[in-house]
Amino acid sequence: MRKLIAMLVLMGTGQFALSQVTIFGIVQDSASHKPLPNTLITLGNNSLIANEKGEFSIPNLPLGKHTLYIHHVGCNAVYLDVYLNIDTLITIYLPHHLHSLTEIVTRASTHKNIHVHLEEEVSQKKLEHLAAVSIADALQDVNGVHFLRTGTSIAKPLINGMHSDRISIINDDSKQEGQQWGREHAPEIDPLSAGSLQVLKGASTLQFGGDAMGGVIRLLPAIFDDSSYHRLSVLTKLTTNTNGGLIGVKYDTYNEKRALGQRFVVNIKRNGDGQTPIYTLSNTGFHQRSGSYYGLLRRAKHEWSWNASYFEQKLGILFSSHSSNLTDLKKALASDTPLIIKPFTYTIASPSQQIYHYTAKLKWKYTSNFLGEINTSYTIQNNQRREFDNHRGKDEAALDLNLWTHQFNSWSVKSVHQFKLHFGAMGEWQQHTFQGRYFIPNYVRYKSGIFALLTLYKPRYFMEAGLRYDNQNISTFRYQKDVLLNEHFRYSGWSANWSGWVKVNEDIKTYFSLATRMRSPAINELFSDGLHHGSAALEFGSLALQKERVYSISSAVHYMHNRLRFQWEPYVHYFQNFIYLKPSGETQLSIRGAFPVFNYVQTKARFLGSDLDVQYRLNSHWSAQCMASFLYVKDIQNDRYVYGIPSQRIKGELKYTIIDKMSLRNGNFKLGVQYVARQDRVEIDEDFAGSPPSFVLFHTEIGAYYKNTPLYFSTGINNLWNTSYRDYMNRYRYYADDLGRDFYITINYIF
Amino acid sequence: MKKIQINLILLFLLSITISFTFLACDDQPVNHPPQMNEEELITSVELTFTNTTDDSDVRVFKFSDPDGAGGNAPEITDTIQLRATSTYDLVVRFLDESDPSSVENITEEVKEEANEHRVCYIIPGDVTVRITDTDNQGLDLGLQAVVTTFDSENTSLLVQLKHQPEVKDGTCEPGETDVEVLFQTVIK
Repeated sequence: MRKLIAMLVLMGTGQFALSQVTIFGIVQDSASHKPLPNTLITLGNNSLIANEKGEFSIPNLPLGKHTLYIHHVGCNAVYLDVYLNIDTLITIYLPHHLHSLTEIVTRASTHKNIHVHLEEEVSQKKLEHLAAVSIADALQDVNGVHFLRTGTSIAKPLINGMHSDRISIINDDSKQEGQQWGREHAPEIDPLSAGSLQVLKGASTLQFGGDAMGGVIRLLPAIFDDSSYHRLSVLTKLTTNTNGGLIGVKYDTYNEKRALGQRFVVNIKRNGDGQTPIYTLSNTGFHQRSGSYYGLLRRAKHEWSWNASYFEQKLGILFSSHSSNLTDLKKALASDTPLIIKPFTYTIASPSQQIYHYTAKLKWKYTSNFLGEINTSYTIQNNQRREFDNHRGKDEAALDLNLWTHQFNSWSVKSVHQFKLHFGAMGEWQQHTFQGRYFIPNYVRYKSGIFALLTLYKPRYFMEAGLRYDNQNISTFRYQKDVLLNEHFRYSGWSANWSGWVKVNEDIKTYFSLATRMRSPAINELFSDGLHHGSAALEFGSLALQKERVYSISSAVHYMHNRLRFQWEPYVHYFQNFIYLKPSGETQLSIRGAFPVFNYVQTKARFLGSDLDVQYRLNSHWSAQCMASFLYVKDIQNDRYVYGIPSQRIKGELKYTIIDKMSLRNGNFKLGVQYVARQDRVEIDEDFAGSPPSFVLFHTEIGAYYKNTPLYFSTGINNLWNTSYRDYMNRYRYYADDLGRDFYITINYIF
Repeated sequence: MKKIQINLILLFLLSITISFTFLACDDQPVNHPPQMNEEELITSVELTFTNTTDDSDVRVFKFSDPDGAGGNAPEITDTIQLRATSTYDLVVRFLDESDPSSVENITEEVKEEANEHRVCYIIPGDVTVRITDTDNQGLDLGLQAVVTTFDSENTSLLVQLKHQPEVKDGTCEPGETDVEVLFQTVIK
């Protein structure tokens, strides 16, 4: 059980009463000493809710011993015995900060990662409540994060309009290495095996590489409680739309005497074909199996942790989305419904993808009084990706890629007064081999980087300056006709970032970040050479591509006063040598018909956008929230719009907090609506089909604990009115509608 | 107790390292990538027209793109020339000529998997194409056909090879397009 850190401050008010007394109380967070409103307090038959300032009072109590039951959303319930003989003021400190991340966006305030510029976090609890076995599930409610989708099972996160290599996914401290260059390659990681998930921006992200221009998505390891325990939790989710199910088992154990914590996680998910309001999306089934083991051992000043994980995914690609040539594609585009619709099935046929990802990691942390905290980690990753198409010889993968990565990270953190120095280095060896069809060549890549961050922390302001140098050498092997070519490429450069915040007053805090970052061209941007099977396009890379450089300014204004919370985050990125796939406007003839030609080019580009989040608490139960994102992207050199940028969207949610009602505790009821505008900022000659029209979707959910048990359930409906719609950000929009109405139920239980 | 813990960790690491090493062993060496276009490929379509009333009137037309989709432009793009008001027996061949020293005849494989293939002819002019061969289900295959011409005209013939595993229904609609070639056609 989590240790109860409730402290009592009892003060006599000096007012004597004959036989009846009043108890006054204030509930505060034990770390920040901020009031915790909406706390449920029960004393005998009296139940009431603390007000905005966390205050409550219960009058007319008899003298003697009473038991207070205190329950706040996100905290474990607390029982307190008090002996009353006079009117009493009591201050209750709840360890709310330990859970505060459930649904609340933290901005480097109460969290220990105080150096982070802009940070959003999804806690363990939230991950479990969402049954998040993919990054997309986990980040679905985070403002400013969008997704580039291929159907429902493939989703790549998008921050500030950037994706793939411009976003880094960091597993604790090492970069997740898969074939992340591909538009239809989702991150091969299960967030449920992690402790929590963060979205980071600002100077501190330089620790993880200079190329995370959009931001970093970081999975943090599990945190163990301080006392010995064994905990088994079970998670299950059922959905009607895909007739899908998920089952997850997690076993946590901590031995206080040995200071050893261990965690085992297994998750299995299986979905059948998705359904639009009218027809079945044939061959969109999905299987995922993942498992991980994590251990943590503390010995005096040493801390060892080790980790092994396995991830396997098999997913179908919509039959009708696979076009062999332009004639087929045009036929598919001209049709309102997919050309191939079969009855519902769980079977996954070609075209399909099969992905395996293995990770093993060892980390050592040593705390020295003199040198500060020294960390060293070594990670091995193996990523295998097989893509099958319904061409001949379908038992063999058409695309078979195998990627090995060995990564070494070392860094040290030392605080002196209000300064903190954080510096380190990384080294990486990566080898890629392929079988079957050529898409990218075999290669060996050596990567290294050094960084230093200096932080100054004052109560009213905070500043962090960081510098990083990255270098990479790639040696590629490929055949051109019968000649084996061995080519060498080297890219290196500086990245720098200066960020921080200033507290204007108690209510207003402003953030800023100035940065320049560099990214080496991805392997496909250099080497794509020919037909991108299934998408009916000829894609050509260029060996002449230079490294990409961006200059960014971002800021944020956070205002919080009483019932209102307002956050606005504008940003601008200016790219020199922005790499993207530009249509040439020509078609090329081949034996399989004509194909449009796309080239990777470099240009000057500008990303301008802002994310807005406004929350207003109507009363102690009801609150309303509105989130909006606006983004304007342009290739300023050629005066063209860039393909694949999310359109403007607004989300609204009305929430009722259930504190204790009809056996339901500590939960909420939500009704949400989402409006997605049509993307008009497109080039007519660039896209196969026009942008789909705007749409409005409704969703609702109720989730709560059952009585005072560790049973949490939630049930809800997505796409409440069974609306037919197509999303610009989903590649299947060319061929089929998106998912129709979906009922789901999630159950979490801790034994 | 401490020793045991450390040993456990070391054992864990050792086993991981060993398993990864074994996994790595069966990889192909990085400096030996597979040759490009090793897979089965159709590079050429050859149409042979034989006049039904005159055996000596044999016309062969070809489309050839030896390096496959992308790369260089097709090398041979013949224009079909047929006599007006005549009837021809048409035989089509699909070839892999990516390696000139060993040309492969893919037509044989199409014949073997006749239940999964269909050759389609689309001609907008005043010409009829009647398919004369079938698979063992009795559905049209299209490797052989009879072509009847009428008046003189300039038109075009679209030849498609459709791969229709489990979806073949005798029409040209379902399946993947393995070949799609448009021949300019002159009838005089």
